[in-house]
Amino acid sequence: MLAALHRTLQRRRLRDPRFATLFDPPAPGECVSLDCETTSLDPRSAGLLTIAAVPVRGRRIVLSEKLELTLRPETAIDPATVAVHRLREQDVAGGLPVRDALAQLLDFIGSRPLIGYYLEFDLAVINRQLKPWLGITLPNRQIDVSRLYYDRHVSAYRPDVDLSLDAMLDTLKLPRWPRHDALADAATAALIYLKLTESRR
Amino acid sequence: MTQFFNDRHPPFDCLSPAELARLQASADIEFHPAGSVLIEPGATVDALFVLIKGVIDEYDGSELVASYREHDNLDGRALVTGTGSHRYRVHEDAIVHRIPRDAVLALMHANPLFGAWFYQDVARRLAALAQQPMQGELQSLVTARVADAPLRQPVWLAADASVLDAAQAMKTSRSSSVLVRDGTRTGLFTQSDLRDLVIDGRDAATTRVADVARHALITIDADAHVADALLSLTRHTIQRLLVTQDGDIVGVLEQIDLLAYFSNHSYLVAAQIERAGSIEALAPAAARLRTLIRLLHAQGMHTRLIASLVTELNAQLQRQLFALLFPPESHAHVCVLALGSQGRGEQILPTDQDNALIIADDYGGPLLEDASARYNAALADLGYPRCPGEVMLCNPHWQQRQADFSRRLDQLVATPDGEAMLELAMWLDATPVAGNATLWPPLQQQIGALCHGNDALLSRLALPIVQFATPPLFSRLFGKTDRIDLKKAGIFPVVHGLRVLALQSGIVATGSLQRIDALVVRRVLTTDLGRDAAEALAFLQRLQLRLGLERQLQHEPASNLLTPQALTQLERELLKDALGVAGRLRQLVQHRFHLQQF
Repeated sequence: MLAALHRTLQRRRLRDPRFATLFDPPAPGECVSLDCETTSLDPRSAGLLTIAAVPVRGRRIVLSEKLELTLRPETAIDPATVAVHRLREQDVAGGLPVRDALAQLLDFIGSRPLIGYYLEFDLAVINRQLKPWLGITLPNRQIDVSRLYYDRHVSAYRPDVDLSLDAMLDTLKLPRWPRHDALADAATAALIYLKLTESRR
Repeated sequence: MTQFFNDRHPPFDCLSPAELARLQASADIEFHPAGSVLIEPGATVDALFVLIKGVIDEYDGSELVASYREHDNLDGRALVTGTGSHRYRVHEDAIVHRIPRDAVLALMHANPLFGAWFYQDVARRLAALAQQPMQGELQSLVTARVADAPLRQPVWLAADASVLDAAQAMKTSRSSSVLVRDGTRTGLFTQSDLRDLVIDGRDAATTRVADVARHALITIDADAHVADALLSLTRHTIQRLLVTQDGDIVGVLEQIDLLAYFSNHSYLVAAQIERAGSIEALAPAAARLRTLIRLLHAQGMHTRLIASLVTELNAQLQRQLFALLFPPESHAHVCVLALGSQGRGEQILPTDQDNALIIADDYGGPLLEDASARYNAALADLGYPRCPGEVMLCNPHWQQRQADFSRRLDQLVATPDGEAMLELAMWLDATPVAGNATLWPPLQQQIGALCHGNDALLSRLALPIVQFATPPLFSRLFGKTDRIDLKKAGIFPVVHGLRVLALQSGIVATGSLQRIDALVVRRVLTTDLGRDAAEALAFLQRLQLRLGLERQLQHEPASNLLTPQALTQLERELLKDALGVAGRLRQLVQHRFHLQQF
């Protein structure tokens, strides 16, 4: 109820009708897994470097329809993060301006629910760009796999759940792909989602 | 680009980077929970699945026929037809790559080696894939280097030489190619380039050879193995390699010379045997024969060809030994028979010597006991181990007058117990190798006549095929510690099945392949089964040979126990195919000889 109200409000605030599809009813059984690499780990100042979005349709992670974007950041890359994502200034110099990239992203995801690992951080960085531009934040339903995982694994006997990606992959017996590569991380999040929602326990 | 795909596993290891990128771009990933079904019999199959993690079981009806794990792919055959034939059920949560059928079909078309993996028919699959050099052999086995091969002196031309000059240089130097130095570049100009130039209508007198020569040169280091040179020639489908030392071109290796070099090895062995005036002189020939086997195997020669070459050389060696040891007066009155795999012409690495001696009934010459004993001893010294079952011509049981052997054969048939059947099987593969070969056919015909229409006897003879019946496939192929006895599980059912079927049909040929051909002509085997059986046997023999060579390197006695985990997935797949063929042949034998009750 409250969510519906919020959506109506958001929709009214949208400044560019081109993105009205964000508020369409989503197609059933489809989500998009999302991951970003950023210039720093502070959501209030981090700039976007790369964004990967992969549709999840039924039990399928549709890599063949993936969206991969490289952006030209508006802030300098924190040298401490370069070691993590291995993206240097020269690697992203040829990237898209932020708004061009985000326009492509919004067209791509439409109203589909979003999946991610600590999705909150990625969305905070994206929304910081959207708000002054379009007047809205992403209205899509959000599915954070760390929360899903927590809900499945927490119990009175085990109040502490290790939510590190390594621990989750170990427990769920999932393969490891190269970390801190937006596409690989998006695929990993999608896999965790499928394992948690499709597996018969 | 993120690599989700592991390209080091067959059949993807034979794709070029561009092909792999295309495949990757079309591939999705799927998650299938335990209990779900990936492919249903009769359903449309529109994708190939490659397992990233988990276990998927293949069922034929209710029978579990195979189990797939990481890096395995399924279901290649259903992919080609487009319809599933078996049920693939997820046993343990599975994560798979899903590659659309169209993408796989396009690649199969573009890359024949990749395509061969998916062939419907076992024979074609085995024939195409089994000839890939198997891992690790080339490095350890081949000792010969490119520098040892007959190299030709390169013929150099100056930068301003014309094509006409090149043609003249080729003629005077009797070479099929010339090299031209143009500044820092080196170009190669060959007879076929000359031909193409003439066809194009260009003027040989005014065209500079440096302008039409090829500058992308394929070279090989003088220290490289000759087998690598052969591979390089084959891979690039070219006629010659430029041989370099410290970066300089020192010679030209022509394909024709290299092939001659390989076969010369066998001529050399033959010549050495021929010229040997004493038993001692035969020893280096026998040693060279063993090197030759390694060389030919590493080079990827078809097992069947190696076997016929080795059989011929073995026979020559035994003929020479016979001539040296047996009294000349006896030569026209006795016949040395090779039995077992040697008689069939299928023995490559000497396992044990199985031989017999027929003496003509009217022979009155010197006694042969001494010569026989020395014959077997000399063979043992030359690397052919004594037969543990004493099937050797120095054993009075295996050295008799023709009439005595004839009575023995009657006895074997009259009392068909297990031992008698074992002996009869030995006789069925006998082939004369030295002495008077005409002593054998009457006995061979007698066996045929005794067995003709004698169904009870044939059933007794066929029985071991059923007794050796193997446990279900998957447990042997995927169990952790289990080893497969190649001979019992594969080679024996095929060889013995063919032997008994041939006997029943009155076929006298002793080689398995000749038996297959004759059985196909008589419609005992379908063309398909015949072809499958031939390729399956060749593949099993190749594995057996490789196993034997490995054990030889470690100075261990030959063994037929194979560890499936030591095989690549490709080889495991082929082994499954080959054992499947053995199973089909076993069923046929079971049916024809009414062995169901056992």
